[in-house]
Amino acid sequence: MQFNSIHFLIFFPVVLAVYFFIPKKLRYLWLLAASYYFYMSWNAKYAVLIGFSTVVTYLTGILIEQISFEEGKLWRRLKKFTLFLGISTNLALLFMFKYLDFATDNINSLLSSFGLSVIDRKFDLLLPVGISFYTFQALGYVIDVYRKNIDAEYNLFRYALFVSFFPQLVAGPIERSENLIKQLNNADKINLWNYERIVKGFMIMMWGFFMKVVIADRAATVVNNVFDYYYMMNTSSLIMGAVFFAVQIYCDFASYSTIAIGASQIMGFNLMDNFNTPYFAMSIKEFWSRWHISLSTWFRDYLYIPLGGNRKGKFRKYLNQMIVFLVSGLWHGADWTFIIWGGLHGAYQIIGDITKPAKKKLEEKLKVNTQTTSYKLIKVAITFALTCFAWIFFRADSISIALTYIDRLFTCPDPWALTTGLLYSIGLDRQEMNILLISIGVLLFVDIMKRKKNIRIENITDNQNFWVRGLVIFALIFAVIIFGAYGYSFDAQQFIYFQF
Amino acid sequence: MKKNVLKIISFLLAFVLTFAGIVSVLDFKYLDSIFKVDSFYELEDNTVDVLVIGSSHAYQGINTAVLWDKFGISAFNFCGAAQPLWNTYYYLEEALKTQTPKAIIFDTYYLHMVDDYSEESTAIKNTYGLKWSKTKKDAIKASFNAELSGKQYFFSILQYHSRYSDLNKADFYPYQANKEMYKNHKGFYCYFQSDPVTERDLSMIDYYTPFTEKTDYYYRKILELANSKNIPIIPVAIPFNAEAYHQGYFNTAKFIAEEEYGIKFYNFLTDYKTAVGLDYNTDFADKQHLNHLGNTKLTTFIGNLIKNEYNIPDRRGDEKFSSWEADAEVYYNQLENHKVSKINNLMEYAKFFKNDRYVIVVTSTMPDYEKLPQASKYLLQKFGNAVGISSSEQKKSGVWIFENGEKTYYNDCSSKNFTKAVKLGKYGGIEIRSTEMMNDDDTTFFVTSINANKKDSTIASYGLNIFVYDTLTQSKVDMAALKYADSSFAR
Repeated sequence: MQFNSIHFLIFFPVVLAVYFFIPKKLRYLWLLAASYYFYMSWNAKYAVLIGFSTVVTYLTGILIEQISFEEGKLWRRLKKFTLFLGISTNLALLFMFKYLDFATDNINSLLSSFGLSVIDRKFDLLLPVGISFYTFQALGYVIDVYRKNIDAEYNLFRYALFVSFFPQLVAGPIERSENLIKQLNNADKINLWNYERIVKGFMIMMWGFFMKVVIADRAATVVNNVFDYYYMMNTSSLIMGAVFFAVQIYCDFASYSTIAIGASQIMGFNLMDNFNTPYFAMSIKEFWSRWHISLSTWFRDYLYIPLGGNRKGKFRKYLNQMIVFLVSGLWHGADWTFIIWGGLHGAYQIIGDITKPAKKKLEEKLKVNTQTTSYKLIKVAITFALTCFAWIFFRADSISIALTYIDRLFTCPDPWALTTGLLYSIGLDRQEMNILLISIGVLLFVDIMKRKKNIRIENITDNQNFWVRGLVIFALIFAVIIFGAYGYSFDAQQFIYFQF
Repeated sequence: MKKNVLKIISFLLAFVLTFAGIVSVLDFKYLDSIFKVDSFYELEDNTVDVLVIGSSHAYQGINTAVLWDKFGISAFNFCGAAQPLWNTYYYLEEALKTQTPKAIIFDTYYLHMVDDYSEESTAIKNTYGLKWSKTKKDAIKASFNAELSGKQYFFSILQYHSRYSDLNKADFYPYQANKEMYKNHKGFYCYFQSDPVTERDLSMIDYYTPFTEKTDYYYRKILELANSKNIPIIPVAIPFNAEAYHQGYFNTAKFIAEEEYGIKFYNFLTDYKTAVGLDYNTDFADKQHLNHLGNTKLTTFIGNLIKNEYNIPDRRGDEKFSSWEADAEVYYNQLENHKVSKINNLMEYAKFFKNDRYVIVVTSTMPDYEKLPQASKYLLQKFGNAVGISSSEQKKSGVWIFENGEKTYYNDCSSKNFTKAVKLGKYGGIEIRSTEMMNDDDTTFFVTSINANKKDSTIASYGLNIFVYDTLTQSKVDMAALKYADSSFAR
């Protein structure tokens, strides 16, 4: 079930009602049952997959820990082999469900270019929801046990809950075992009836819903229109398409994490922050420390560092960075568009790093004051523009579409289009576009508060009278109910036709 | 703890109240399928003698006011625009829970539907107004492709929350602040304009076009339901801009009804065309629907037919049926409004000033009475005498308001600027102004104007302007003028 569905609107209160009243010792079991129900609502068969992944990593963890107690080279090798087995089993599963068709297609085009016969088979396996997320979370756990960062979890049910914890199961944040397992272990000690925590959790959730149904889903209309008819669009529309996609994907991704964080907080768990005002980043490097933090730190800790990180010279550092970004691209989707998107970000970072000394020198020579707001704003704008450019590949259905899009971006200028009402004709009418712009204004305000004053949405009303907080929650709820893009797109003409 | 509980309770209370308020504003407020169905539920049990079911062809074609006025028949038009037969069936099922009509008129226009589901908004419209019951549940099931949206339907806010973009002032009032207009409503709605329709001879079409399985199922189900309750049902084809292929469906409908069920089918496009006597140049409002002229002819024919055949009682004068009288009055008032809007003679206009439903605002911009053409002076004098504008008032710029057939306000606009807001209905209104202007010879005079929706609606810059508003239908009836320069009547 999606968070923005009627199903979840019933599911979550029911889960809470039982969770708050059952004996403390049973809390984690109830959450486990709820999590499996949540996951199986997409497809009951998925439970087998997540169950298998859980059992494999559970056993791997225990095995690695048991082997760790033994001394000697052979045992060390066996420990490594066990880790390898655990990881490869899970990655094989991920590969099979997510990348098999992509791989077959590519092998086929390679074979056919050599005049060889192609693999005549389409697997068409349905991509199980969230498989990339829980696989990475479980792998992180196995590696943590291997590194002795944490103890193996011996309670299968508790471990299963760690892998399947429903708020963050299908779209993150990808939690670290150190953080979440510890909290799950102490689930019976949580003082559930904490007014402040519950209200703030609810506020976070509502903010997440606002981002999703008011902003992301509305921006999607513009984005879909531009990307569907890119071959008819000119520069201004194409820029708008990319910018609105930047807004859409941010609000879409971040909303899911935000709702997950809020829902968990109501239940007494703290999940990690996943998006920290990413579009205020002043460099691509900073962008990645603010965007999908749980994923980028996962790659840093479990891929970049094992690859050697920046410890093996400049070339290896750049190579490692590129590998991480390409894999990250592939993680987002089985298509070359995602790989190129990742590659672009890798290239941005590497070029940024290489040109850094020269840039610094030039700035010193020209006596550029790097502490001014205007300087920072320009850096933010450049970073945002680079990010938007890369998003074109992420969103386009194929590389050739992305290339045509970019080609038209630079060859079909229409400098005055934005001043002659273009904004109101690229997918949304005047009313809807104004709602979107106002909502983005609200988003900007919330992000500025976070960036400048370190005040998060749930703390925005901390020093105000209680009714101010009530008002903010009200505004969020009713903005979601009224302006949310959900339900039927009702065509009033059907009535108005026969209206007085 | 206590404080927090109090906070939560007050929050929830405020939430519920705000939510209820928002729902009442956003909720559908349309005549078709909403107010109409509400009106049906307000009927006393077993008061409907003739029930009309079907699509907009019926609800603009069978005139309940004429049935009442001419025959004393208490009829209800329980139809919905673009209503496929499954919705018609569930409307019938719903109606028969409280009513036992002596005859059912069944419009069969949508027999030609080829899809198994109508467009989503239409499906919402044709099910939304029904009260929660098994009937509504079944209607939803039949109307929506379950995989797509069946489940979502059960949360009504999902359907109307996006109406925020269509909201207008009237949505903030129950029944759009016009409950008076709708409270006795009997489901009939009339168009008064005329649009010529091509007259085709369809009697030569002798082939039979099969219905879709779903339509066939519900067509039979409707006939069977009426049969099972022993209520005579009259399937009809109401005239519209029909083409040959429509006739193919009507032939099939006739065959099934007459051969399989022994029910007579009335095709007013062919078999009874001459008997009804429609004029295809004047009797249609548009390509699909009859106007007041057409529906009066058709209804009169049907009224005569059923009155005798099914022995339907005359309910006129019975207090229990007074709402039919009131409904008919609304229709005849609308008809009168229509006639007013067609008048092309100032003296004819004067007759309607006595109508107690009207608020009439008259303004006159008089630069120089002495220079007026004789014809204008004559007309002004005659008109003034008829409605109560004195001869001294006639000679100057001025504003008059007539309510309940009486002159209730006069302002001499010959000496100073003035502005007056005239409230009309519960939330509407106009503004009257008088502004000083200069003549070529440096003398001044006052120009009066009528402003509706912040726009100057004045027709004659130098002349008499008449604005007519109907307090019953809460709508503008007409705006007309006498131009002093050439003594012409203008609209």
